[in-house]
Amino acid sequence: MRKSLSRVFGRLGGAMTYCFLLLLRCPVDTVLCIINALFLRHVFQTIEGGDERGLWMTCALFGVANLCLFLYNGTLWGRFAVFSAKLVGKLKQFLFESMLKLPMERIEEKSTGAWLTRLNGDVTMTLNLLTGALNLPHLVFATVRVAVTAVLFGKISLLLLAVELAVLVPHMFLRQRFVVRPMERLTKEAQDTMEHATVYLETTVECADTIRLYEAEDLLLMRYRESSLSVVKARLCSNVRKTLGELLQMLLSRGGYLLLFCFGCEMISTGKLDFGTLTEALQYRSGMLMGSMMWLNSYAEVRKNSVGLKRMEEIYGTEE
Amino acid sequence: MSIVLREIRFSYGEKKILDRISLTVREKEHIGILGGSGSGKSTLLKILAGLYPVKEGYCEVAGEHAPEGIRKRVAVVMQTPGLFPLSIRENITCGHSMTEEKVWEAVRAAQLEEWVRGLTDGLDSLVGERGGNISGGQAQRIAIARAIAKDAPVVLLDEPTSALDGETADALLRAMERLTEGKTVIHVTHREETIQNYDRILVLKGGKLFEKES
Repeated sequence: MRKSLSRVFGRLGGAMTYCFLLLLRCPVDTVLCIINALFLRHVFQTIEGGDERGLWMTCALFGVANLCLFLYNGTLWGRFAVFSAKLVGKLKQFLFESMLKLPMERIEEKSTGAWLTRLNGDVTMTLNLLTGALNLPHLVFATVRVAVTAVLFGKISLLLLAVELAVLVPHMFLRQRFVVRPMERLTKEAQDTMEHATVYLETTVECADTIRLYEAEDLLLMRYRESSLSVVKARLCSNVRKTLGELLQMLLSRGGYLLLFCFGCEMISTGKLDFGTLTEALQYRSGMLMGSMMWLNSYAEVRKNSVGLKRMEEIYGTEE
Repeated sequence: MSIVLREIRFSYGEKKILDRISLTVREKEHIGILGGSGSGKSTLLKILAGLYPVKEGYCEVAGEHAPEGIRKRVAVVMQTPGLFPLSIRENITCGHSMTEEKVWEAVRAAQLEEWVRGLTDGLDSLVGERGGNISGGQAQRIAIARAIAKDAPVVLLDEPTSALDGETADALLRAMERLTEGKTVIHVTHREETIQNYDRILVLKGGKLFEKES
């Protein structure tokens, strides 16, 4: 995929801008997590210490920090949106030009439905990959978030970090094994079947006279219904996997939370930790968990959408 | 009478296509209709096939005058074969129940047997979108096999060989002999040589139908 990406940027330009915008945006989620963690720690510490002035100061600083982060993030996303819009235009034009240059035998070897899917679906997939939510940008953000919050969590307590990892790693493994991968397969199945359904729809228009003359309505309706049912079936299975994912999250995420509380309370009672620091640790834990989920979701989406990028390469070729 | 047309008029908006067309065709009679591009011959054929409703005039085909009834009594082979992206069998039967023997009979009559038997999946081979997996001649012969399998008393032909080269067109005309045998036939074309052996040849010009002068 890295080669495919560099080829597409090589043709469209803007690779440096893209990387620069990603780099500027990637600390935002992590910084937000740190701000929340520090805020909670200081709030509870000031409450414990009866320091009313300190509490007000903490709240004010929290407000200012959030406002700054909001403005920074908003400005960056604004730039990113402009960049994405330009990229969409360039990519569609480039693909259209490439298609016009394709030899006839290449054009004829695919059905109209497949070409339409390619022009619409694959371009959308590539754009999603580069600029969409839970795709390449979020994969980078999640990586930074997980790494930084894990280090900060470990600095508070290595024991708590170990407990968290003991829950988080199986959680992510099960999610990947039973939710993410099957959903990728089901999405592909649904897309392939959708192409067939499109072909039947086109036939009803192009062969309307033949269908009426030979009373073939039932035959085509049956075939269309079969492909539509396959799409519905794939989507239903996909929803079942999604629900399973939510169930796993409920079970292991809440379970991990309770475990950390148990260990945390034990540490507080032995004087190794105060409540404020525990809440800070829980915030980092939340950052790790959210970051891991985001990473896995983004990774799955990146894998799924990179299919669109690779299929587009069949149109414009892989030579530099 | 097999076909009766009386004072048929047809227009697309303001543009008059057919003007007071009257025609009577006896049972099993073969009629050729000559006409240039835009003369209205395809429109006339679509009226005869029950695809266009008659707004002015009267049209009766094989004893039927309602479009739905007419469509059951005609078999049509058009310029484009109009194949479905399904198997050869489904393109011939159109989903209706038909014995294996009857399907093969139609395949044989359309001179497709040798080719179909040579295919790995035989009758269950897919023709592809718009018949993309097969040649133009084979596609048109499947359309003929479909018309043969329908076994309708009236056969309408709309230049079925126009998109084919000379040799393929000749082979197709031979395949059509079986289709038109013992049926009432109306064949619209701009090539006189394809209809020279017909019982009558008519000319469609300026929306009006004339007997061709010998």
